[in-house]
Amino acid sequence: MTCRDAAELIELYLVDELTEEQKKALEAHLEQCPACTAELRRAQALAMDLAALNEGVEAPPELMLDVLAKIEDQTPKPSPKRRLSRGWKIGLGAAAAALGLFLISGALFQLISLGESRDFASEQWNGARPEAGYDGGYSSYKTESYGAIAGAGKDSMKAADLVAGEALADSAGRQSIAPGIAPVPQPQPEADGEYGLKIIRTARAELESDRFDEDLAALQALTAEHGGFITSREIYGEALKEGASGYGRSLSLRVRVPEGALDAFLEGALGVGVARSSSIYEEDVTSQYFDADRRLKGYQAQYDRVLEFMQKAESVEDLIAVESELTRLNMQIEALAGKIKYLDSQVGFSTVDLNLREVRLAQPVNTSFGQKLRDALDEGLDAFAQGWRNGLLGFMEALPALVGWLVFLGLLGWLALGIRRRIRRKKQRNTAEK
Amino acid sequence: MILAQPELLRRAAAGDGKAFAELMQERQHAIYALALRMMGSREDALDMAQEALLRIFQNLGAFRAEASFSTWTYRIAANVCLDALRRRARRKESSLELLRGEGFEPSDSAPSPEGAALEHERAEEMHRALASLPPDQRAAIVLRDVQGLSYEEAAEALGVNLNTLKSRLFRGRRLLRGLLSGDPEPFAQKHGLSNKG
Repeated sequence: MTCRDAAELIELYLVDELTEEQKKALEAHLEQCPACTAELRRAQALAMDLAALNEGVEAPPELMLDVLAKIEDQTPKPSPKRRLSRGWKIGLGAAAAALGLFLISGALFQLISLGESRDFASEQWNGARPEAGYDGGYSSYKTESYGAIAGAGKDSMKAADLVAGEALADSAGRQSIAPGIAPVPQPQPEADGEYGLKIIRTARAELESDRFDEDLAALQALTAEHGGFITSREIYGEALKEGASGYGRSLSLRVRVPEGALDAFLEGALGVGVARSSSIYEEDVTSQYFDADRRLKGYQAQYDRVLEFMQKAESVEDLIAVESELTRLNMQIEALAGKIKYLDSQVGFSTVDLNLREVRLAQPVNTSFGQKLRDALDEGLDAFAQGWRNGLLGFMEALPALVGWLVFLGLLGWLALGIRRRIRRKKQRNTAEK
Repeated sequence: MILAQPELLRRAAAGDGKAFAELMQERQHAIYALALRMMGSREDALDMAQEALLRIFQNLGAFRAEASFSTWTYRIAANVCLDALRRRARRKESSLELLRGEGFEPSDSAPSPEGAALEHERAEEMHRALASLPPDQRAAIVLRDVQGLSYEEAAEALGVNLNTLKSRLFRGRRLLRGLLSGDPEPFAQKHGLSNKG
């Protein structure tokens, strides 16, 4: 048995798919092959590590709270299904129209541009920006949990337009969290004096850069400088190369910075590369916060009362009942404390999404008309040259086959001619004989 | 206070949110854990677990008693995650950076229950490696090897037959070992990702 065979058998052994014979053969091989034995050990160690991976992982308390809040939101509506399907219809209609437009414009674009466009990204920004699929997915995804952000996300953003200070007052509708559970009557939120306004601020910025690596480092340094941290960093695409085509790399960076440093951080980030757009969204969660805090206090008071009662309990049944009530209250208290902690962290630290696109030449949008003309001409010439190059390449590619066919057809023709001549000669001979 | 499961199920299916919360008291952790390993980040895991729980709630009426409730909930949760991953894959091309585990950090650095588990370097490394497996194989490994379902249960939860499950496990584990030994090449080659952005 080779080690290759053994590797296959080891995997099969691990999914318990070996016949007795195969098992014996594998064991025989393992006895004399330390490498494969080590591989098996590694596989077994991996299995153990995997089994231990989720030990102690628990769902955070806000999970069930949010689910319950949504369940409550859904139930009272008389016919959410019909409404939804109408929305779907409109959505589908719009999607179909958009697709049609996209196909037509795509065809036109194909017709107009001979070769390839050089700076695809910056072109997009000069013109009207189409709703980007990737952004759209993100915001619609978020619609459910954060209505305010999604609502703002749908507004099309103009280049370098700073939408600041626009609080979107959707969140007020989400204040009732699982009233089904709440035993404490809920007081109406009064003025915000007790806590101050609780506002979650998020921001995003689109940047372009012709020095991708330097600007990436600059953004990271800027984050550290403002006391923030990076929660995710993704780079996709390939680096631009001199003379080669391609769209360059894209960075999407998610950063959390202290709320107070958000404006300064954003200003700094917009100075890195060339800013294409930026925006700040604000979501007022004061009422949510207030609600959670009030209910937490209510539960705590109740907990203390039940605890008091426990001292007086006489029968075992009483004790059991009190115990289970305490457990339930404790669960609620922990859940609410978790929710408050979560809101605090969201309020205290702003999330900033930064997108950095690598381009050949990053320049501000408002270039002069003359410059644009020159750029257009440059691009046209480039495309023209590229078209010729492509044509030539295509021709060269087709050449061997072309030559082959010519030779083949030539041979065929030559044969046909030869046969015709022979037939003619035969006829002539026949007539001569006659 | 503590009701039998069938009774809780009946009440929850009738729309009782409180009964549902109790019914899922234990299960929600498993669902969240599954989502965490499937999605890679805490934030996405929360969203997916929430979506899964909602779907479970809405479909309780369709649950048949002859199936295992735990497998059934896993099935819904796995589907939610796989759908989301497919949407995500359509949106972004998976990048080699991510594959090699560069540029991937667990989403939240705030201390949390699973943060403690992730503190161990090995666990974090495994988490990353798992996150870079193809979703189908990742799902098989998470259900069978991490969550400890039997082969039959895992196959049922993923809606595939036993052989398909085993072959996914088989390939996934091998990839995982390759990734953990710091050699992502077999994976990159296998999926033709080595020279695309």
